[in-house]
This record gives sequence, structure tokens and C-alpha cells, in this order.
Amino acid sequence: MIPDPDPIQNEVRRKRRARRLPPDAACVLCGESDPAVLRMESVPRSTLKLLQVHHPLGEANDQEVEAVLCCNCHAKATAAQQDVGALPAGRAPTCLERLVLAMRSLAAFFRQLADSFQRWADQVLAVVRSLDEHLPTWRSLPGIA
Amino acid sequence: MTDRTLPIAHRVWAERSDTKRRSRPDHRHTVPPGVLVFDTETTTDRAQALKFGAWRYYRLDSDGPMLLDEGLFYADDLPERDPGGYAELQRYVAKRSTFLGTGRERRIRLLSQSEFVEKVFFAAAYRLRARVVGFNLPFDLSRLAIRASEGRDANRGGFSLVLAPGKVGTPHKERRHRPRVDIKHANSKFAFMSFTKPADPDLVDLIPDGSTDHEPDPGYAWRGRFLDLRTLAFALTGIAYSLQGACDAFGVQGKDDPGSHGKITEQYIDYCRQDTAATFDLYVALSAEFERHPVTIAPERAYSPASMAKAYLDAMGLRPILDRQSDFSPEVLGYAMSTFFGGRAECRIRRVPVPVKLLDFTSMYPTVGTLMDLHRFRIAARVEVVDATSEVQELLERVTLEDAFDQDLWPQLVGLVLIKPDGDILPVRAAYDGQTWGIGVNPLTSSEPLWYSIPDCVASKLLTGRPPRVVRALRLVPVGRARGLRAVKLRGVVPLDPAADDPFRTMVEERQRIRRRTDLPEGEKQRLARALKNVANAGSFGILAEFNRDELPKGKQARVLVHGRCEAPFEDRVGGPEDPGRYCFPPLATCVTGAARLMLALVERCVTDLGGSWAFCDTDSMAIVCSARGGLVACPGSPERLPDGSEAVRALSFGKVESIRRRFAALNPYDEEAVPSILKDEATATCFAISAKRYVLYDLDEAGEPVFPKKHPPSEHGLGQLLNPVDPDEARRSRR
Repeated sequence: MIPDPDPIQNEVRRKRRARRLPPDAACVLCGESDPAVLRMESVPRSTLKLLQVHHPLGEANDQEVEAVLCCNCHAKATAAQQDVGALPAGRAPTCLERLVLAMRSLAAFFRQLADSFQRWADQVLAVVRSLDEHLPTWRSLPGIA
Repeated sequence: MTDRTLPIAHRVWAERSDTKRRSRPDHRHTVPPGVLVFDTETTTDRAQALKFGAWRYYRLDSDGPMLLDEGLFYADDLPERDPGGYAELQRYVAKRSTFLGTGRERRIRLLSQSEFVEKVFFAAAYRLRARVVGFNLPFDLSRLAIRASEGRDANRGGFSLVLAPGKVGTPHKERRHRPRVDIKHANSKFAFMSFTKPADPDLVDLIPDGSTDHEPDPGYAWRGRFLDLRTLAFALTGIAYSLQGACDAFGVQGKDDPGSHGKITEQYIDYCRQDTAATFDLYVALSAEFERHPVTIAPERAYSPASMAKAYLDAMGLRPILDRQSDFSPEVLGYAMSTFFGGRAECRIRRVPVPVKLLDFTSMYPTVGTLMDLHRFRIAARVEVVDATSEVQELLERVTLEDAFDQDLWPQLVGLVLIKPDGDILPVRAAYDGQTWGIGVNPLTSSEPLWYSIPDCVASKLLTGRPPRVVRALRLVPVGRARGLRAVKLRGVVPLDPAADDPFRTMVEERQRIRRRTDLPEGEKQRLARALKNVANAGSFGILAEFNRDELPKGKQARVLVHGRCEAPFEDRVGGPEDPGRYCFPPLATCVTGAARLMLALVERCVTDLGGSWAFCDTDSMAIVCSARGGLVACPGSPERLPDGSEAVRALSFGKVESIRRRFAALNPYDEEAVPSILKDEATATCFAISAKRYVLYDLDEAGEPVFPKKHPPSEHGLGQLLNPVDPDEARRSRR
């Protein structure tokens, strides 16, 4: 027998996810804001964060600089830091070496950020072309110029 | 009358010294995500075990409530205990469906009790933090319990209900990540209901409601939103309704005919579902009524009219005096407590029917509060206590009956007097029968000086003709103006500006005006008038004298520092310490009840000055013996004599009683157009009284049967021990 949907359980799921997030929560890279997507399945019970804090300079180098990312973007950003050798085991012994690692780490993050900006630019351009095709008068609308 | 030496007792101000004052819980109103309404049907025997129940879940959003799901549930053991009933439930859900708010038709779910508890009750009420709504909700919650124990700590004296059993294969007797439900009855009108903190809560359940960082707080526990509509209806109207009565009063379709209770039939299931639907409709109606009040408390925190009154004072920015002035002298609070007595209730003519007119004061406590201008203390920055021995002594020496009918006297009466009683007529708490403490107003002589409110001392002067011997007197003086006063509209209609007017005077005037309005439907007029009456009565007196007894476990005692009539406090231990309510302020409370006794003393003096007598008085009313033309009325035990020599009492004529009533026009503090008189002629009837507060007013019809005045039907007050507890109309006291 196929069970009926359970509206109360659906509400529970939705509201409990929302309880774990501020109302304007979104990933700074991809813009994802759907609590259902921001959910993490495999984190230990003690970790409730749905959005995660990424340290673009590397956590060992600077804990103050943060970016809030969804779990997918955080995983990609961390992998990029590892790819450029920005996350050695342990803290670098001198400030100059830490600066090298921080700049590598930041370069990796900027590349990811640049990719994001490029993606958003492409999306916006696609919208402009679509408007030109389907709503050519849009350019004369107030506030556009 | 003979002199008797009796021990007397006083109330005291007892500060708890061994416990920290509990912080005030956050009662602000936030909109819940949804509402779970449920109702249970039980066996008809004494156990009233669960048979089945019905529930509905509504989502609340900006478009209003939307029905998301509906179902039935049955006792876990019903299939074995009542297979026929269980089969009937199965047949019912197989052929019936419900229309959801989404527009979809859906079959009605049938769950076992334990499935309902986990999948619906805990899911909605605990995990989702929805509001749980019922009528007489504590009863329905208790029907879901698989076990109960005595409450502890804050729930001492209550029950702790276990709803979810431990998981199979674990040693635990109850589910470790689900809470219990604590229920503690405060009185017949309301019970405190809350979730406990589970032994092993889910972390998401530890994120506080309204949290800004969305992080779990290990110290947090979700206490639930349990709303008993019986309580909310009482808070809004002052009336303890049945479900049907509340539905009628608020224009909601009520209950169906159940057929017969006990046997599960299609009609009985329909009845249960309709009860749930009616409960929700009543919730909507009561919520609409509640939302008209500009208060910030949640509806589940509106326990009584006093809760509403306090919420109004909060809304108007009127902070409790002891909150804004925590250094107020505890000695003065002790003196004030020792002067505190309730309303005067007395029976003068016992067990003899006499003709009377019942005179009744309009809103006695708000009226005397207005006359004394107590509002100046509510809006003051501070309340100072000053010595006023000589001026109060002078006042008591010169005050006459005429002076007491001058409104200018009354604001001077807010204070306390230490006197040496010597035959003065004063209220006193004494063991008149040698065993129990009772309060009487009688001639009192004491070797020790005693504190009294100034109004009580004035009343004594008027009744005895002699001023009490003053040892010391204190007067309350308002200083400065409190900040943050705000104007509100009572029930969205009546403007109340505490900076400009006494809100309780406005409420009494508006209540009378509303009664005469023709532009409002009758139900609306009644609701508004009730709201005004309840808030005025509770706010002008009740909350000033609010104490909450904390019944400690057997054998446990709390240390208290006792401030009483003497200057030096002393330490003691008590098993049931009384915590003052937030707005409690005994110096004003005692002046209110004292002033009400003074009002009755004025009526008494007016009656006796005319040679008349009275049968009883009760707080705000007095039954004066009278007849159309006046004259003697047979009354054994009375001093006058009829021509045949039998004992009699003198009745005043209707005209003389009317002249007394009219005299009180001078003390009317209200707009006369709104409140023409503060002393009303309530009834003309025969009175038969047996003791204080136990009386009946009646007339005899042509057949000799008693007919009761509409405004004063007989009550069963004090007759509980004579009634059948199961069926009050049954003549026998028990079913045996």
C-alpha cells in the first residue's frame, strides 16, 4: 500500500530546517538559499550548521576572515585550497610562510569567486538576450538606463 | 453582648530568604506555526479510560488557518478491549474523507494512541512548536498518558504525565528525547501546562524560539503552547463556560448529539469530530476576541481577568510599584499586611424572614479606588511614606458623617494608623469559636497597639462616635511621574490614557455607556461590558492583593523574614510560603478594602440614624429591612416590641431607603450621565439569612412557592456538603 503524504511531518521537516537558519541565509558563492538544499545529511549530531563558515585565508592562518558557503561550495573551496598546497598539516612556523599559504589560499578562493562571477555574468547576459528577443521595449523602461 | 478575650491573628509580609526570586518567564506573544486541536472520548466508568479521539491540524500563515490534516485515534488496547468499536472506527475511515484547506479531498487517518502521540502530538506540539488547543485540555492530555507521577519543583502539587514509552530493547521506561507533560491545577478555572526537558533532547529542539544565532542552547527547554479554551474564555469574559455555552456565547456551531456515550458508533464518531471542529471554530472566535486587546501576552498566558488586567497595565507602561521601587520599606509592607481584611460580610438577622431592599454599590472597588485617587500612585515615579500622626489624629477627631459624603475627604484616606483600640468597631481576625480564624467587624479592645487602614478608623469613628486613640500614622505620597506611560484602546474601542485619566474610572463609565448603546449588536455589547468589568475589578484591586501560595513538599520548609505589625522583623520557617504577585502592593490593597467597609459603614449609619436595621451585608451590598410604609416587623431576638409583645425589628419605608440611596450621589466620582448613581436599588424581596454570605432573596407567588429575583438567584454557595457530587439535582448525596 502506498502511504499518503504526511502533511504534519512535512511541516516539521520544513520548520525545523528553518529554525536552524537565519531568514536571509544563502551561500555567498552560488546564492543557494533553499533550506532543503542547505541540509547536511552526514554531519555528526553535534554539528547543526546548515551553512558553513569557510576561511578563505586558511583557518590556521587567519580565523577572522570568513565566508558563509553552502556545503557543496565549502567542499569545493576546501578542495581548491588543498590543490594549491595551502592547507599543510599544522601551522606554518613563520609569518612569511603563513603569508605565502594565505595568498595561495586566497588565490584559490578568488579563482572560485571569479568563476562564480563569470557564471552570474553569463546568466545575466542570457537574460538580457532573452529580453531583447521577447520584450524589445524593455530598454526604454524607467530606471533601466 | 458580653466582652470576651480572644486571641487575634494578623497577616504578615514574609520575604523568602532561602530562595532566589524566580525570573519572570518570557510571555510575549509570538505566532505559532500551526494549531493542533484534539478531543478524546472515554469510558463512562470512574476510570474514564481513553476509547478514541479526533484531531485536526491547521497551518497558520498570513492567509489565516488552513486545515492540513485530520484523523482519529484509538486507545492502544481498544482492538482487544472493544473489537466492535475498533471495527466501527475502521469502517468509518474507510468510507469517510475530509476536505483539506488545500482544496484536496483526503481520507481520514486512523492512528493508534501511541502513533498519534509520536506522529501527531509530539510532531506538532513539540518538534514543530505548534499550539495545542482543547476545551478542558488537562483532561484530554491526561487521557493520552501511559503513566503519571507526582510533580516536582515548580510542578509540585501537580502531575507529570509520561506519554511516550521507552524504545523496545532499551532499559528506559520513557522515550529519552521526548518530554513529559506537566499539569498543575491552580484553581477550578485554569491549570499550568508545560513540557518538561527531555533526558536526551535533539539538538534542534534546543534552539530557542526566536533565537538570533540559531545555535542550540543546552540550558533551553521548549515548554509548549497549551491553550485551554475554557481558561481563555474565562479570562476574556469572567464566565466559566461549558463548550456548548462558550460556542453559543461566541456564535459558533456547537456540539452534535452523541447518541449515547460509551458505545462507538458512527454517530458517536461524528459527534467527536464535530466537537473537534467546534473547538477549533471557538479557538478562532476567541483568538479574534483576544487580538482586539492591545496586550502582548500569549493567549495561553491569559489565565484570568487578572491576567488581562496586568497585561493592560503593562501595555500602558504602568510598572508595578515594587518593581520600580524595590527599596520600598518592608516594615510598611508588614504594617499594611497586618491591616488587610477582605470585604465585610455579616449577617445581622438570622433564620428569620424579613422584608428587605438590597442596595448594591456600582463597581465597589474601582469606585473607592477612584474616590481615593489611587491612580496618582500608579503613575508616580515613587511612592513615599511620610509621618502624618498629628494630621490623621486631627482628621479622626473632626470627621463627621457629613464629611464622609464629601469627595474631598477620600484622597486623604490613603495610609495606615497605629491605634490603641478601646471599644472601637474594627475588623479583626479572631478565633470566635475557639478553633477557627474568622473575620468580624466588632467592638475591639487591645492592650497592644494595632495597625489599621485610615478608612477603617474613619468607619469606626462614624459607628462609635469616638475617634480611635492614635499612636502613629503614616500616609502614602506619590512623588514625580513615571516615564514610559502609553495610551491604549481597550478591546480596540475604549481609549485609555494613563497620563490623562484614571483608566479604571474610564472603564466603569464606558461599561455603563455601552449598556445603553444601540449601534452595537447585543453580543458585542455584552462582551465589551464584561471585558470592562473584569479588567476594572481585577486591575483596581485583585492584583494589588495577589499572593501565590507555594506548597512545599511534605516535611520541607522555607525560611522567611517576617514583617508584621511590630517594627522588628523575625525569622521563621513555613511549609507554604506565599509569593506576592507582580503588582501586589498591600498598602493600597488594604485601603481599597478598608474604604469598601467605610462605604458600608456609611449605609449602616444612615439606616440606624433613621431607626432602621439591616439583615446582612456582603462586600458591596446591604439588605435593609424595609416595607412600603415602614413600621415594625416580627423578628424574634430583636429589641422592639409589637402590640402583642412579641419581638420585632423596625422596617424603614421605601421612601426613606430611597433617600439614603440618593444621598450617595454626593460620592459619585463618575460622569453622572454615564453612571447616574453608585448605589443601586437591586431588589425588593424577603430575605432569609443563616450566616455571612449564606442568604436567599425571594418572594412567594400565589401558590406560596418561592420566586427569586432575576438579578439575585439563589446560589449553592456553602451547600456543597449537602449536594450529590455526581448529580447535583439528585436529592440523595450519593448513588448508594
